[in-house]
Amino acid sequence: MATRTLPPSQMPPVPNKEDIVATWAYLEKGITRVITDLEQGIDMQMYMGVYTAVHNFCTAQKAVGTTGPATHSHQRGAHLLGEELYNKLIDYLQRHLSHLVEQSKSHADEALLSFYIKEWGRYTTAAKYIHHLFRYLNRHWVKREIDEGKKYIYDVYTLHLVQWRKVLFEQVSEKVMDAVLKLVEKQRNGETIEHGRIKQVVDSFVSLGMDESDPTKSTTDVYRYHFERPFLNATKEFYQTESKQFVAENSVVEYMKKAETRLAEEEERVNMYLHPDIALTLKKTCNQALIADHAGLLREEFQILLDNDREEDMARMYSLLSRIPDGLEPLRTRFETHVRNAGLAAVKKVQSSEGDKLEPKVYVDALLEIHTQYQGLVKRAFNDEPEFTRSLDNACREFVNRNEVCKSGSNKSPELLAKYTDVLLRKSSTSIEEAELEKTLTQIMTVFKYIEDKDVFQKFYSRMLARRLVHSNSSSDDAETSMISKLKEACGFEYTNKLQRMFQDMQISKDLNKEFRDHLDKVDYSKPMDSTFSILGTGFWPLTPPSTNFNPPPEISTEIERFMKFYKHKHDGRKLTWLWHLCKGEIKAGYCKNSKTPYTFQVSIYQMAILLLFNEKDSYSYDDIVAATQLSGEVLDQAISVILKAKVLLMSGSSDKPGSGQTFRLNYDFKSKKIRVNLNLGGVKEAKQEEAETNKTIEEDRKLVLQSAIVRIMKARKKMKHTQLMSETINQIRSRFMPKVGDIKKCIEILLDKEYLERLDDDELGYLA
Amino acid sequence: MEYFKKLNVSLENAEFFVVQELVQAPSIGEINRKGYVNGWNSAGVGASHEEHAAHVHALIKDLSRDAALFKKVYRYAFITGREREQKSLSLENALAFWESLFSAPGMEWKTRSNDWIGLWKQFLSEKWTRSVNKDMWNMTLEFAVKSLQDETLSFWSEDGAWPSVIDDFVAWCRQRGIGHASESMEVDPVE
Repeated sequence: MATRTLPPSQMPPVPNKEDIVATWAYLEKGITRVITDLEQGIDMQMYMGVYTAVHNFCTAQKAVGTTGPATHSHQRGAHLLGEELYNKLIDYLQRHLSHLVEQSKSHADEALLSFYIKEWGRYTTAAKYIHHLFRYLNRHWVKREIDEGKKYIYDVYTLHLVQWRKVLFEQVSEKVMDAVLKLVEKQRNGETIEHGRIKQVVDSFVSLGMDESDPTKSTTDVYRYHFERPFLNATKEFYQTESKQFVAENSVVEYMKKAETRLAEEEERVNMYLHPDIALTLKKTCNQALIADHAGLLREEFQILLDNDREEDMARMYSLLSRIPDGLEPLRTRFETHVRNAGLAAVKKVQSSEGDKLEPKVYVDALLEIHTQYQGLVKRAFNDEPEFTRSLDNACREFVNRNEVCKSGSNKSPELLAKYTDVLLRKSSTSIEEAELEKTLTQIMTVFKYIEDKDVFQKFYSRMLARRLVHSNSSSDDAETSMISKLKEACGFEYTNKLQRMFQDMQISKDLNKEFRDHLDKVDYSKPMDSTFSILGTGFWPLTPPSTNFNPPPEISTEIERFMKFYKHKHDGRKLTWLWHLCKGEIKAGYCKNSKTPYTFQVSIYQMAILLLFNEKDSYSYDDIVAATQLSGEVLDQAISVILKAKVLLMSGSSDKPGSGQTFRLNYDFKSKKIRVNLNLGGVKEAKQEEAETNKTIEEDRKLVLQSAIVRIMKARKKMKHTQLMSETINQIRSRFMPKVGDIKKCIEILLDKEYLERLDDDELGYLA
Repeated sequence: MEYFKKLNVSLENAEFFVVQELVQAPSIGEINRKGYVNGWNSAGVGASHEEHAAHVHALIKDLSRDAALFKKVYRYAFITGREREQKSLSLENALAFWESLFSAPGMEWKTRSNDWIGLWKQFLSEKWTRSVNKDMWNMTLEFAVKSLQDETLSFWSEDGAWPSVIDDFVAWCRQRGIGHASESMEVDPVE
């Protein structure tokens, strides 16, 4: 510093160390220079001079004190004189600051801002210097005062800040803040501003946050009160006014765009020049003014957006409303209702156009379409939020289980779904590709997830699976396995256990047939026919023995006897029941005059029995056939009517329906375009009957399932309140079907009657071992 | 039957069932030694018919007031009324028993506004064809007691533990405007 080319300072020599007046006069000169004219710099001499003066003043008094009469008073003497210096400094600062306040009055708005920032900068820089110059005072007098617990004594730098706050800030801060807010408003209105200045003001306000009781701590109280509070108020007011006006003049969609922009701007504002502390509260204020105040309006619009598939706008609304507490719940409710109605409408549409002939595929596709559409919406517009997904699920569960089609019978949904699966898995001319099939099966599972009566699906599925397996017309083993593993994944081992056993039976039967063939080869015989047998475990297959008597033709019965012998030898003690109604075969007809290649008839075993009779004679009476086959009238009529329709046999007699008195004659002139003729056609009546039967078994099974669930629960709990038992039972059963309260009650009564349960006092039930 | 005459007990009303219960008769009019001896021993009265008769008539007097006694007698009626080897009471017997038990000197299931026993019998004759099991028998008394206390039937709720026959009866009554939910009370106050 000494090397600086400054004019030599006008500092007088260091004053007498004991003279406070002289000392202060000396110091004041130095301080004034630092505070008002630091740009010119201070030289070493001056710096040292001031520093020394402070040091001397403080130490001198100590010396005096020790030479004085009262030794113990020296502490106090130093104390007092340090204080004198400290107070002089305060006095000086107050004068300086009052002067600045006066000056500030000639400025306003931006000029005032500049003034404030300039003076603040100058003042704080000076404060740092003076802090150093008064280091001796800081280290000794101030430190001791603070140590002794004196309040409102600060180190010299802090003292500067305290004085600034007390003298200047109190009087000008409001005006400064006004200027700041005007500036911000300008920016909000699209003008460019020098936002660095606001940042400086913010910094200044934050620096003034000193905890008066503990100077080592700093608080943001001053900033909060003098900056944040008015800033937030102004923000609120600004956006309230703006949004009100904007909404009045523009559409809601436009408003949402505007709000979105505004919110982004405010976030940017924090980064640009505000204290990070304000981010949260500012956001809250903006959310309130821009979103919450208009939430009702936005929600009203939501339905319109839904109706018009305005995905982008819904996404915007979602992101806006997700910013306020409880903002989304009303949307979810509306969304759920909307999806449910959409689903119901879609079902109604296919129902009214297809009527009773509603194809399972059409129905399931209608359900899936709605699900896919709104799942996409949840994903794209609602951020895949779990709560929205739940609303979607609720809606889907509703329209899948309770819709127009289900009105005719609550089991309709699972039934149609199972039937569609059957269509997919059955061999047909329009089979789809493996990959496509897998995809469709996955979609089936999507609907399956919503089905409440999963037991109904299981029933129908297992019946149709049985049919596919017995008639070996599955389109693909892989697809069958894949479907079963999907069901297992969704409902557990128990659900698919029987289905898997059915597959096993088919595999075992395959091996068994091979063994049987090998066995026949060994015993060497000429075989009149090729036969295949399927051994199906009674408990696993949803099949019932035929309702009619049947006397198989000799060709068949000898083969069957051979097989029975073979099988008995292998598994002694097993009982075989023949499911004639599921047996089928092919016979070749060599008698026809019109064709060189013999026709092949695909027939049921009943039809086979009828046709084989004509190997002996060309004509039989109805009663002859009944006697030979032992078939019941209903079954016989059904079997023979297809044969008659194809004109393989011709009927003569008084009636046009098969029955007693009619005669049947072999038609030598039989003609067909195809070489293979399928006569094994089940009637529509049969299918309907099976459907009804399946539905009936469901009701019976449910009762058993309910009772066993109740017994299980009561066995574990011994005693239970009636209502508790109800809800527990529903809980356990829900994954299979939705039990009705009345049904549970009836089951409880059955169990009471069977004395598995007893009534105790107070609506309680007890378990009787 | 002679015995009942000696005690001067009517065979036509609830009095009969009091004696049945007292001597633990296994079936109608059949008294065995064990039940007789035990019954009178625990009653603690002398051995003469006159003393027996006095005791029985004291009980009969209390029957309509003493709920516990009535319940005991009522429940025993089911046991005594079953056909051998049967678990339930035939509807015919049950109706007759109800008729006698639910009228004086038994507990009258009848108020100034509603003839409950009449309604119950009418309901069963319209809607019920099966026999009456123990649960239904016992719960009918519970229901009768409650219905006398609260003729609006507001104690009943769908989720309650009542047997479904009672549920159906309540629905049946409400269809006829009997036992409304409490807000629409049309029933005369009962002394």
